[in-house]
Formats: sequence, C-alpha cells, structure tokens
Amino acid sequence: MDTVTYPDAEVQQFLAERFALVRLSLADRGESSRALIRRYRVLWSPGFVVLHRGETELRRFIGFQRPRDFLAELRIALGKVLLLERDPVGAEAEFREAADVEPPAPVSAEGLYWAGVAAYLQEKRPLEFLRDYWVELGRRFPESRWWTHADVFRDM
Amino acid sequence: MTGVAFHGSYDEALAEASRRERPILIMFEAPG
Repeated sequence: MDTVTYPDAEVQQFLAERFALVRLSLADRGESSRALIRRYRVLWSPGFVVLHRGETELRRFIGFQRPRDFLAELRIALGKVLLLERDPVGAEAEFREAADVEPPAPVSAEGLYWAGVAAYLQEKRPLEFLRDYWVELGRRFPESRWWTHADVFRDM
Repeated sequence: MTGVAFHGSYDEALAEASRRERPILIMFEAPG
C-alpha cells in the first residue's frame, strides 16, 4: 500500500477530502491501540475498517488494494454513510461510481446492488428503480454473488 | 512517506471525524 496505493494522487486526494484517517500497527503495545485491535479482532493485514460516527462499523476489508479497487471499496463505504445520513441521492452517486469503474473492481457488482437500493430509497420512487439496477446487475455481473442476492425479479 | 496524512491515534482521528463530520478509516498494518 505504501509503495503503490498511497502515493497515488487520486487516492491521496480522496482520503484527504472524505475521511479521518488512523494507522495502527498490529504490534503496537499502546493501551488504546491494543483496545482497538481487540475490538475489531483484526486477523490479517493490511486490514481496513470504516466507522460511522466513530462507532458503527460500515465496512471491513483486508489485503493489498490497487488504487482503483481501494477507491471503489471506499466509495461503497461512503455510500453507506450517506444512506445512514438520509442522503440516498448522494449514496446512489457513490455506489454508481464504484459500479462503473473501468475495468470493473472486485466490488463493482456490490456497488451496483447498493446503487439500486439507494435509488429505490429516494422519495416516492417506484420499485422499477430498484429493478432496473438489479437487471443491469444480472446483465453485467451474472457470476457475482450480488446477483444471486438481487435475483428476486426473475419471476415477477 | 506515503503522502497520506494518517493520525497516529484513534482519539485524534475521532476528533477530526467529529469536527469535520467524516467517517473514520482505520488501517491496521503488519509489524515493521
């Protein structure tokens, strides 16, 4: 991450503008760091946890992330933050960015799933908004587990 | 130098998150 992803200009700007960042070593002996490591039961590194208001865990992922994939992970986390903040329009935009990155990121299908949810949660939206996204999910990512979660419209 | 400004403690990140209404990203890294 230090040699490939964090030096990336887009990653730096995105992190600086959208998150409060903390970095802890799993070997840290400080009391507060040990408490966090115990609290989140981190099994492998690098490990990433996104918290809303310092308490609600919204996303967790592990392992090396290329810049494009890292940004997609973080956009899904931000989309969930915005859903909790009752901003489904902003959430849809973040999820859509994660879904439409080219070439697709490992979490692009998940982004499209949540984009449909965020679209549907906007005021007075009919179920068609969700269906349109999830039909697109099946078309673009038919091997994705997220398509299996969205495949409720097949017989409707 | 990574070019990314991480806080060294959770309390610092929590204070920034509260002040600027942002989520917190914690990165747990390997020793060394």
